[in-house]
Parts: sequence; structure tokens; C-alpha cells
Amino acid sequence: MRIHQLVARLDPGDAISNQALSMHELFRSWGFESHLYAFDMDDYGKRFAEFDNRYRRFMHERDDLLIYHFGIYCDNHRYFLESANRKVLIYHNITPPEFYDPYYPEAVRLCRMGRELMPRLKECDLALGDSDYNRRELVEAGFPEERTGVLPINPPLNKLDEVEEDRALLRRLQDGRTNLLFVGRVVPNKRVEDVVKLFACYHYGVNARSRLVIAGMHLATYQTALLSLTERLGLLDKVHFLGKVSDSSLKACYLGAHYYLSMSEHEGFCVPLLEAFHFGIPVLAYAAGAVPETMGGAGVLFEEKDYPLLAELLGRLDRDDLMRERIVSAQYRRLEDFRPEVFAARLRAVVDRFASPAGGEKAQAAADGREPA
Amino acid sequence: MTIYVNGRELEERGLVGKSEARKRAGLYPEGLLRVLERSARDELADSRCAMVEEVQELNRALYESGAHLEPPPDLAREGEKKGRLESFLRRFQTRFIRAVCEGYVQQQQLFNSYLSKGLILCFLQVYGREEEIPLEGESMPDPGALRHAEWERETAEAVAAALRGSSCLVLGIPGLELLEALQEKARLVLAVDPSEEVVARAQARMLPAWCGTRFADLLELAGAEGEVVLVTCPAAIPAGGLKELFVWAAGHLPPGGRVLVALNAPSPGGIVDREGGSRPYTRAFISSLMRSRGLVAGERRLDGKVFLEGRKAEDGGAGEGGGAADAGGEGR
Repeated sequence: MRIHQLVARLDPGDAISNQALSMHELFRSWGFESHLYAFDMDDYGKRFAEFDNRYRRFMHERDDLLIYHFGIYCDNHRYFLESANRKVLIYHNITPPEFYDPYYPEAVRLCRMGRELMPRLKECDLALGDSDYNRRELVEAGFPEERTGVLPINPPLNKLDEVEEDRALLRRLQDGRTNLLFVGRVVPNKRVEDVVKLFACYHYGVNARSRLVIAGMHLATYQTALLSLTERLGLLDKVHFLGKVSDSSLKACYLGAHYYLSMSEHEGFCVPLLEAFHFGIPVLAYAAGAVPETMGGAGVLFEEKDYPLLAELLGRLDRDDLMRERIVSAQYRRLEDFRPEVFAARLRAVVDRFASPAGGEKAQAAADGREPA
Repeated sequence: MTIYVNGRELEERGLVGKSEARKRAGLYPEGLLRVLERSARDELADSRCAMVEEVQELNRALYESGAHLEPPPDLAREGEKKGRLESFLRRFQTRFIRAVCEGYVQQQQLFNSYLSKGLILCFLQVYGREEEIPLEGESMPDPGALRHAEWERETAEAVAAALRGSSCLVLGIPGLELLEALQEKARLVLAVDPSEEVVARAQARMLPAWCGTRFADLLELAGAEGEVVLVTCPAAIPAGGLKELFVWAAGHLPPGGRVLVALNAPSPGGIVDREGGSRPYTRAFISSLMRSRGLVAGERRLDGKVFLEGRKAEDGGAGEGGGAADAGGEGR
């Protein structure tokens, strides 16, 4: 059986790209013929994928499996609509357009069109969300519930383990100050301004020896607003916007961080939470979207943004080693649910639903490490 | 507010109590709380980003009139002649539209990137350090080198006694005894110091202290009001900062309000700051700054420590200086 994956864009550091690549590797390791297609890609993406028009030669093959990663409007969805393959949709969630409203017209347009498109994609064999939160959105959009499921993200933690940390950056972070960290795209739904506000209360009220590190590609207009707020708060020399960082710098950020903060008001999964879990950093997160589900009862969750109170909580964590250790232990336990083997088993179960007897036998043989009959 | 730690509800009364205590102590002044209520959208509305709104309005109008910018589908099969050109045009059209929409964003990012790189290069050229770029102004002349030694308890008590009953702002923390004495005998509104260590120690004792070097900006942010501004170590403030401080004081002090500037010579030797001020400042320089802002300059001695006192006229208007300091003062 051939398995085709279709994405809007393939580039490093993006959660959807990482997910598609990890699936691609697994499919190949199981002996399937696997192809990745993208509407757009950078040089990194070109190492793994082809442009999506190359998929046309397979779209009338009834035995093939097409997996469409849906996270933004892209006109390559038309291949998915017209394809005769058996079809699986993986919904990574689309940010409600209103978040982008005053900042980025193009994103507003693409998100709005993506959300309008959702009901039209329901004619598929299986629709998966990478969280139950996403799955429920599929059902709300008209997908038959019995044909929906959950396939969580496979966080690329081993990739961070393998890379060597940026030592210069780490040395600077390990200077005795308490480092608060946010990782992710600096976009409006992540509410980075609220991270800055919480830091302001922590810095002015609880611990002057502190800094905030924000690592992630930024949206210029939103960044302008953030810088303006940061300056108004007198914190331009305490808040560090690093922009998009390499894996080695990202690792240094995690190794040097004392707390991870998430104030996001919309998340379909949120991989950085698990990365922070992996590096043993206590996570404090606002309970919105799929965040509570991803955290799975570990870490600190709150339902209101009372900045002075949360700053006080950070101060308590500074002093209470036991509480911090309990949080980190629970986070490590939660991480067990996202082990690569668990993900592989879940993905295999999905593929086996569609594998033809021959394809399945071949795949099983490959998985068992023997030559297929 | 409910907080869950590892899925269990946290007993938060203690946290609420401490947070309220910090508010009462003045660590979260009204000015700061007002800024916390501002959204990023408020900031955007105040900045010059009107072009974004124009582009969005245009897109919205096009969309609502049915002129969708996404091109028509291309489902021609591989090998069919029909569709190749369409496919090319479709991709080109889409990318062109996106390029136009995103162009200004990209340009701004490029500009920011080049500017940052330029700044780093200049820094390396000027300071000749090749290994690291400072994160928190490590390259600045260390104001701590010009700090006074911590004040004796007796001095702190004497100063606090002299300011009895007044609401005070303290710039430069010469030890926590002064802050505690002021809290007891006067009313300490806010203390600001460039040293994170000193401020962190004050915060741990719930004393209203902030860390920073741009004193006037911080006082503005805090919305702080007081009857007395006590500057314990003027040499730690750049000349520009000192000027801003007197502008702030002239605008915010009530009639009869005072600025007290400690004059003890610090050690070791002075520095010339970027604004051209030679620190430690002369008595004449400080008194002229006071007079230029309408404060009546005079001298006070408290427990052997000499202060220049600038008093705002009772009628709130500008006054002409007099007193010992105005007689000429000591040059260095």
C-alpha cells in the first residue's frame, strides 16, 4: 500500500511538519511506500517532500491511503476532495481568525477560509484530531462521530536530546537570575502580552533578579505591540525576544529556564509544554483549548489571569523545593504517554484499518524484521 | 480563582493574602495595575500601524464582495497538457498575492534583523569584546562602583526622623534600614535601585522596591506620588536621568514638596557618562538643575550627612533659589 501525506507547508520547527515527517519515517520503517507532498517548502522540506502536484499521478488509485494534515487553508485541499484514495484527515486545529484580526489580514483570511472549509472535508474514511479538543471541533463541524478519533502529536524530543546546546547562551542564562521561558510562535492567540504582564508582576513584586526569555518566530505587527507594552512596563532590558532559534539555542533556553509560562487562549495541542516537561521545568499554564488535555493533570493550571497572584505562586515555587519536585515528577510521568513507541502503536492501528491484506502482511513482516512472502 | 497543581486544587488563601499584602505595601502601585489592563491591541492602536488596518479593510471588502483571492482549482492529471499552464499560473498567483500581503511584514523583519546585527557589530568594535554580547547592560559603567557604602542605622534613623509623616520616594537604596525606618516613621511609597540584589532583598521583606535605572520612567509607570524624593546616590544616575528626575519632581511634587540629594563623595574616582555629565556631580551642578526646575535650593545636614534640598514653592510656581548652595557651592 502506498501512503501519501499532504501538507500545506513543510519546514523545520513547525509542529505539523514534524508530525508528518515522523509519520513518514515510521511508514517507511514498516515497509510502506510513503510520499510527502507540500504546497510550499523550504530547502529543509525539499529533502523529504515533493510539490503537491506530483501527487496527481496517484489520486485515482483506490488502494492508496491519503492523509491530509489540515491546519490552515491551502488550496491543495482540492486534491483531498477529489482523490479516489482512502482518506484520513488529521486536524491540527485552525486558530479562530478573530485572534489575528487587528494584526495580520492574510492570516485572518486563511484561518477564516480554513474554518469555512472544514465541513466540506467530512467525506473521508477517518478524521483524527491530535487532541480530543480538536476531535470535538471536527464533530461540531459535521464529521460523523463514529469516524473520528485522536492521534496525539509525537513530540520530537529525541531531536533536542541529540543536539548540543548553545553553550554561550546557556552560560549567559545561568547567571543567578531566575529565567521565565515562553517558546512558540509569537502570535496573538498565544497571548504573549499576558506572559510579559505576569513577568512584570514577578519582577517588580517578587523577584527582581529575574528575566523573561521568549523564543519563537514573531509576527512583526504583533511584535510591535508587544515591544511597546514591554517598554511601557520599563522592562525592555529584562525581556528578551530571541526570534526563531536553532535547536541548539532552543535546548539552551530549556536548560537555562526555571519556569515555563503559557498564557495561550487557543491551542490545538501545544508541543512546547511537553518539551518543558522533558527538560524538567515546572509549567504554569492558562487552562484554554487543548492545554489541560496535553498536560494531563501534571503541572500548574489556572483559570483566571490574576497576575499578582500568579507572581506570588512563582515566588512560592522559588522557595518550595518539594512542591517543585512534585510538579516535575508528575510532568515526567505524563510524558510517558507520549513515548515514541506509544505513538507508533497508535499510528499502526490507524494504518492497519486501511492496509489491504497483502499490504498489511508486507507491513507486518517489515515490522517483525523478516522478508515478506 | 482556582489553581490546580498536578490536577489538585491548590489552597490559595495564603497566596491571596501575600499578594494583597504586596499590593498594600506598594509593590503593585495603581500605575502598574493600569498598564496591566492594557491589551496588545491598545498598544497597536497607539502605534503607527494604520497600514495594517487599511490592508485588512481592503481584504475584507474583497472577500465580502465575492472576490476571493484564492485562485480556481487545478485538478488536471499528470501528463495532461491542460492544466500545466493553469497550475503554474495558480501557484504564481497565490504566491504573488501572499507576497504582496506579507511583503511589508518581511521587510520589517529584515530591517529589525539588520539593525540588531549592526548594533552588535558596533558594540564589538567599541568595546572590543569578541565572545559575548551583554544581556543586561553589562557593558555600562557600573553604577555600583559609585555607590555609597550602606548607611549606618543611626543615619537612616536620623533621615527618617527628619522626614517624619511625609510620603517618600527613595532613589538608590543605601541599605534596608533606611526603608524600614521610613516605613515606620514616614510613609515609603517606592524605592528604586539599579541593583537587583538589593531590590530582591527588599522585596523579600515586602518593602516597596523596584529595580531599574530610568528612575523618572519608573516613577511615571508606578503613578507614584510623594511629598519627598530622596536621592541617596546621585552619582549612580546619568546626567540625563538626573535632569529627567528634576523635571518629574517639578511636575509631580505638591507645593512645598522636596527633593533631597545626598552629597557625600563616593569612591573610587568618577566617570564621564554618555550624556557628558562628570560624576560625582558638583554641588553647583545639582543646585543649578534644581533652580532650572523652579525648586528653591538649600543645604541640610542630617547625622553628619550633607544634602542639597530643592523645595517646590508653596504656591506651586517657579521660585528663585537661595540658600547656601546657591552661593556658589563646591566645585570639584
